[in-house]
Amino acid sequence: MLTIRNLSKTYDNGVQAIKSVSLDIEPGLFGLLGPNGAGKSSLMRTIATLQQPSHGQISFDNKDIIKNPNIIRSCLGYLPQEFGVYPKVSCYDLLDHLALLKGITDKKDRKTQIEKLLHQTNLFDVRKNDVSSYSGGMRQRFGIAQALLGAPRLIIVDEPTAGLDPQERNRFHNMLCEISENIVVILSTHIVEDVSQLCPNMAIIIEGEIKLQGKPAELIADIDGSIWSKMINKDQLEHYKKQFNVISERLITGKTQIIVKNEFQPEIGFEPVQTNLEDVYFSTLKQVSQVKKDQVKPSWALGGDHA
Amino acid sequence: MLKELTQFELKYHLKQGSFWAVTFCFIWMAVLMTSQRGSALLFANSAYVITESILFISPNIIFALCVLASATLIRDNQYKMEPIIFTTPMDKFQYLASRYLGIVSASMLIFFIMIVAMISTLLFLDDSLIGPFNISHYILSYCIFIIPSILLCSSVVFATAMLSKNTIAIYVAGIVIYVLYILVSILGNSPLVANSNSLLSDNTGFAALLEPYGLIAFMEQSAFWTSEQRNVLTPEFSGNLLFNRLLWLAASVSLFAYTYHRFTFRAANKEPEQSKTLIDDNNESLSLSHAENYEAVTPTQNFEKFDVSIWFSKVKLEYLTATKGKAFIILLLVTMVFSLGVLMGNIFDGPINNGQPYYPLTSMILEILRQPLTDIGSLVAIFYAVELYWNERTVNIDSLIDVTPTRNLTLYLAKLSTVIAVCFTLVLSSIVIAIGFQLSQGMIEIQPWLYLILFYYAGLPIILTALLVFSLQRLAKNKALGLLLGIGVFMLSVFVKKIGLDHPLTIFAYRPQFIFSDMADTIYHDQAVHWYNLYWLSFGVILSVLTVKFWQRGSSNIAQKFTRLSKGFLTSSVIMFFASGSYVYFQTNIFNEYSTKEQTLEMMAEYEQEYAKIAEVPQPTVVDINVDVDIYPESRRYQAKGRYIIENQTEDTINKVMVSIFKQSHIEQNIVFKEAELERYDEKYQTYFYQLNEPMKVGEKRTLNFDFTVTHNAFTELDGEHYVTKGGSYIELEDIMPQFGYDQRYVIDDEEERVERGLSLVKLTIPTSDMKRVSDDWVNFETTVSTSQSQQVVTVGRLQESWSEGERNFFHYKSDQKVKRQLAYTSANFELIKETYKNVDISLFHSPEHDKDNQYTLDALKQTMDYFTQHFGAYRSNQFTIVELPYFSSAQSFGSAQPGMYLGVENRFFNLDNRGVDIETFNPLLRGVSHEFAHQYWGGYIEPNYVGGYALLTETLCKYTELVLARKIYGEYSTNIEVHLSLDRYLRTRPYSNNIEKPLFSTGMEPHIYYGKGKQTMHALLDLLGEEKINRALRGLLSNHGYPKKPTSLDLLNEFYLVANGSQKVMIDDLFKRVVFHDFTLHSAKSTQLANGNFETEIDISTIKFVLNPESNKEQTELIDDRLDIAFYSGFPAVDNSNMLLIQKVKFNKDRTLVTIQSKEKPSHVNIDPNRFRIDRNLVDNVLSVDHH
Repeated sequence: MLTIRNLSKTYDNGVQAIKSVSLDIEPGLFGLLGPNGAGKSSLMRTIATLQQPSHGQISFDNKDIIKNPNIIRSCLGYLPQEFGVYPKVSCYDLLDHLALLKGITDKKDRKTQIEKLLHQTNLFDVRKNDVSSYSGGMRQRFGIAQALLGAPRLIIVDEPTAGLDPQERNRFHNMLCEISENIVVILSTHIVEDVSQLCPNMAIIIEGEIKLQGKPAELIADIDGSIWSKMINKDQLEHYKKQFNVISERLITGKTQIIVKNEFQPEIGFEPVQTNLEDVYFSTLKQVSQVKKDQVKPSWALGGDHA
Repeated sequence: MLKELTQFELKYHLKQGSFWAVTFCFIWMAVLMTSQRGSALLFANSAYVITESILFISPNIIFALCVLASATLIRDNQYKMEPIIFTTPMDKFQYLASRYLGIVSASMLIFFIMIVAMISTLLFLDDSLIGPFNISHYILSYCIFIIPSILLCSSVVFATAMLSKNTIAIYVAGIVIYVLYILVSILGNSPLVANSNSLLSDNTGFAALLEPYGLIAFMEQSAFWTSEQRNVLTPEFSGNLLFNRLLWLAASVSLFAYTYHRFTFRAANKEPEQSKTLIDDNNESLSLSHAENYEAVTPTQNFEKFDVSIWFSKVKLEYLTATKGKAFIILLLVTMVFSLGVLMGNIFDGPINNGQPYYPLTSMILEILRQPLTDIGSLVAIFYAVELYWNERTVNIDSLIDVTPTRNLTLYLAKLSTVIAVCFTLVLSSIVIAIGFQLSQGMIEIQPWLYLILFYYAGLPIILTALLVFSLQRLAKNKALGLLLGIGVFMLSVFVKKIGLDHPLTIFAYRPQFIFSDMADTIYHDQAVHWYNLYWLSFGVILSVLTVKFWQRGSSNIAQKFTRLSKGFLTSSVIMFFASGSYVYFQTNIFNEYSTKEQTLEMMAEYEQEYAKIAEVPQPTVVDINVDVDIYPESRRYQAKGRYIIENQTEDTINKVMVSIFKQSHIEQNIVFKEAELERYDEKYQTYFYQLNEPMKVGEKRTLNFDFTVTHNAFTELDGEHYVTKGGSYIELEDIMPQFGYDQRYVIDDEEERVERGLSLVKLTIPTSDMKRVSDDWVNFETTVSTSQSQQVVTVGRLQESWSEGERNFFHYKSDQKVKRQLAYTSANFELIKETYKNVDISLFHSPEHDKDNQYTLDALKQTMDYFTQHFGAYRSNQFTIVELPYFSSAQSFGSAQPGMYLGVENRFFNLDNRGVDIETFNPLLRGVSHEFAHQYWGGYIEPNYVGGYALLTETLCKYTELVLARKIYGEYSTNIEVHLSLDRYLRTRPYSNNIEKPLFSTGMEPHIYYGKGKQTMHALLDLLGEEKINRALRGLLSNHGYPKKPTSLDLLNEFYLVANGSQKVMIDDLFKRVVFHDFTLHSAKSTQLANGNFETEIDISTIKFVLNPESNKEQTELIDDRLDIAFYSGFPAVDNSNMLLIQKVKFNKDRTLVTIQSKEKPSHVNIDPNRFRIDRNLVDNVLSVDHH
């Protein structure tokens, strides 16, 4: 349905935000996972027709949406990572306005949908207040409501749950799941949990490149059996990091647990771990940073050998 | 701390692209201004020129600050930095002061750079235009004018920005300052209000005080400076200028203090009202049940089509942005106050100082309001277009809006309609005020439909500006640059003209002069304006279609596809653009002759170079004219077919004849000269060169036939002496009829232009006593003229008969005796008042509705005729006709004198507001009527020789008539105020002359001398010789030098000498043959009461006399030997001496004199020369309050 081919974006200041990204996204929730600054928003903005790619194609239903942005605009729900609102305009009025801009010219239709969305996002009681006076979470819910206006066939939500409390987040996830049955929903996030809970398909984007894509279960299966953990003292951390392929570490009741990716048990004391998506993500991240280090190393390492 | 913060601010400013763009604009202005200054008498780097240039640039300071402020001042609010900034240890003062100092220092830097640019420009100027360089001139002007203006503008913009945090409010503050400046300047134009020299009262001018840049105050201070003084004198920090600067400095400081007081260091907190409605939202089951219910609603809108409800929804939001806060209300109020101010200032002032107000006709009001409303409206359109264009990006909602399927057109139209709605609301508010003003003046014949014209004449340029500004925004990277581009549009026309593109097709939103004659019920350029508008509007539509196509969505550069509709639109506007452009071009350049000012001057110069050598070749004189004229008002043309009888009045035989028909924008002409061979025709000057078959002997007469057709359509510039419109036509036909010999009208008068083109300076010859010319060059005149059915024609001569034929009216006129060759035709719908007074047939032709001043005119005429009959003998002709001319002739001020006829211009002579005048106590038309009848009377007898001082025998004599009649009817001192104003005009105008001033007896075409100084001189002569002796001299002139003799000014002076004694003769020479000034100063006045109850007052007076050296142009002192008036008053001297206690002539022959005068009453003030018989340029020290002991 949504096909992205060799998509690259380089900004005027020379930053290459997207590097030759290719993706095929079918209806259903698609998780786009990546650390801050990985190029998620750039990709989302490009798909949402807010910017032109430097290279590559995007097509939706086999139609080129770079040349004809209006094809996607007429069926797009977009919740940007951050947005502002007109001052002194109430939530209802602004939704009404956006609904009109999306082409719902029938007054009754508009009213019905807006009221329903207001209930679903729990904004009904504050619908008459100015959106500009909303708290962060309320504003985010408004953003969700406006993204769902009309009959979107592609929904792009960029870090949607930021600022939402767990309950709101749950509710929102439920809605997304429900909606995504027949349409494409792209969820961009840096929270692994969001993806693992919701998305039948996903991709990991790092430094503008898609490093991994597939179904979460398959990706987990791929590395199953190669993830080990060990509890160590904090002062041993450096040592372990040098010795093993440590992909992540965390504190558990004051002690450090390190996760290592290795085909076999690295050392006595390591225990095999039930693999999850987080391990997939961290190992991918680790891989990227390793490659980077290797690229940098030779120049000074060589000099060292000679000395 | 403050220092570092300010430095940070300044650096922040320097990082803005808009800062440098603004700097560039001011550099450009400075270079342009400086490069055009400088002359042989006034250097481009004189203190005066520097100050003047800076002051002309000053009104733009506010725009610079608007741009700087919108880019920096509200950034914390815009970029949500407030919570971070406000929680730093920086205190409120440091915060505000650093921001303020930042913007002030940034602006100071801009103007410092501008000054450097001014100085650098000097390097490129010709050496002769530059005087000695003095850096202190620049520093002084910078300190006195620029710094306080920057502080003021900064404070205004700063206060608005900090307290409102709203860019629209900043713009409105800018407009308020601009409007204040315009309003005060308009009101201040009248010397009556702006006069600080306490000519007329001891009130100082409010305009000089209130004008925010000090322009008026400086102009007032320097008004009488001679060009020599202008080179060396620097602005003096005193008087009104000092008060003005102090006032605005104080205003700036108070504004800053107010801002400090009001500003709170808390982020705007709008939450509280919400808190009560924030409800617990834990009802998950309910939400879930709803969530399950999500239903898509399929949009039904086909976005290929335009939908009104979507557009309107957007308009509502844009309108909310545009009118949020009080900014819009303030704008509305400002417009209303401005309109009222401008109307009051113009209407009450009337056409001349101290004259009658205008009748507040709608046509007049339209003319007054159109230009300022266009300017203010365009400015508002620019600000709003910029603000609305960037609206989504400013509030950061662009990513929500841009991804909607709504077409660019809807978004664009919503913004455009909002801007237009805002501007038109302002125009409407101004109209409401204008109607209110008319009603308050008891004008009930309001023509509301006429006001709709304003929406067209002022509205269209506003719309065009909005279209262009919207288009330009797409090219700007951010709002501040966008604003700058917008302001660029405001100055576009000035720039385009400067680079020589002054064709209507290259001046954006070109608007020809708006001149609306109520009498002719015509706007002169109306038909042309429609075409110009069509042309520029199609240009605007083309721009808009492209703007819509490339409307910004996100940061994408993808253009929206052309719909079929937009393609059609684009194609038809392109076709319209070229079609209307071609038609305009055809009209301006092909059907009519087009010539830029430069081209015209070039053509004139070439004429002189080619033909000046044959100027002295003898040519025949026209002695008899018979011409048939047909005027076609509807098609705006006329044709003339006529016959000359010419005579050889020279002392040689004539072999060759040079005859030309003066150029008109569109003319087809033909000359038939039998008994002669056409040798050559110079098409460029429409000049024919004939070789006579038989030479013309002395005294021989021949005939010459000619015919021509002239069209005056709306595309050509209005020429106040030749025009045909549907409601009124005026043609000075003698200008168009063939002329013999070298045509003086192709000679360039402007001396600078002559020097530039390498032509020698023309000077009217100084009259000498051996000039005794006699020439019988007046003509017999006969004409048959026709016009449309509804109109009558009035022309020179006596109406023999009139008849109608077909759809046309015919009139046959014939002169009773020979008349001067001044043969004007007027055609309009007239009402005629006929009266016979002492055997003179008086006819008064006026527009039927303009019937309110008939009685004033007739009364004044009879009074004048009586005076002339009594003192100089009966009026030679037995016919006198007064005709109303359409307002289109307003360029010739009051009107024009023709043989036996005076033509007075509507709204100048006719149709002024004379309601509320009691004819018994004051006749407002006496001055004009006596002046014009005097022309008729003297002109009927005397035809002066065309040499220097020519005007002394025409205009100055008429000024004398004005004086004696007013004095006779209203008393000796009634003319004092007019004399004051005449002198004021003379003194203000003379510094602008590039010549060394000539005394009255040899003056050339310099109205400030023969009118302004002439009136004062005759006033002084009345004091010197008295009315009776002057009249005796004038009788002598009539009997000894009447037509066909051609007297000079010396002949008149001789007549004056005959009635004068020895010392009076010396004074006559001072008045007429030299340029003399005085400087009187009262140092002290002490009074004591004597035993007999009388008061003895001792006054210490210095009396310096200056005489202008005609060779060196320097004023040299000369010992005074004169009798001057000293007068005592109770209270500050009234200009008409109504509170005068005593007046006494005192002899002065020293530089300083102690005078003792006894009076019965106790004097409070003493005044030297209260009636201004001498010319003193500084009157402040001529009045002193008396000390009593």
